[in-house]
Amino acid sequence: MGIESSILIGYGFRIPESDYKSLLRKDPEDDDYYIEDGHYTHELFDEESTFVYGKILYSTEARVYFWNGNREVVDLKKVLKIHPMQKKKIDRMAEKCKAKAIYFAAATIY
Amino acid sequence: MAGIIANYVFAYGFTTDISNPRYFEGSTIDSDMTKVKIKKRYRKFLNEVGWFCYDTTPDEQSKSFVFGERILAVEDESFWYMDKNPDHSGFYNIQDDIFDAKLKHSDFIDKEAQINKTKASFLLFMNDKIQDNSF
Repeated sequence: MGIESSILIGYGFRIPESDYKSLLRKDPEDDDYYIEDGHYTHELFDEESTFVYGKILYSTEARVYFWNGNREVVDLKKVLKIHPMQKKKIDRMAEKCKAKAIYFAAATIY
Repeated sequence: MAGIIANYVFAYGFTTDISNPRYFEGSTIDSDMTKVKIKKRYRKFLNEVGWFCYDTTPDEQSKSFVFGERILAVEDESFWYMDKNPDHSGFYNIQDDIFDAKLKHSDFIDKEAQINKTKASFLLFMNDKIQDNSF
């Protein structure tokens, strides 16, 4: 019994499900996921199939009560570093999806 | 027994620890974290990063604190209500929600950072707070 939680920090955008399926290819290792070229991560964030297309720059998770994970304090500006080519690629994909890529933080505690 | 609330905190500040006599009373680096007393005037600026683990010895406890101002915290009630409830989305725009957030005490924090020979910055940490803490 306990609380599990995770946080992701990255550069990307919430990709609509229709674009997610049409622009990306199925992950051969997991039918529920679509991938692109291995440099980008697509995470299922909630029960409604919301996906983020982008690059994860930092992630951590914890399990409270029986916790043995990460207690570091992170300097945000130091983790927000993305290669210009990767950024460009994400921006181009965002444009195709009529979206705008941002530096995001996505946290969940459950 | 006190309850624990887990939350990720985004703050503007710097880290310090319980051996810092400017902020803590009667503490040394070897102290039991549960006995640390924060000086009254600094209480609202000190966010505990360490964990009051029931099964560990004082030596195993983290003794770090972030001195600073909270910008936002994702608490254990913040599930993925992305579009249903934007106030509790858990999905944040770092530029708009954190870097551009209006800070009330940045000058004071910068000054304290200088006294501690460091610089304040935008920080993320996980904080487990004891609900009935005695600070």
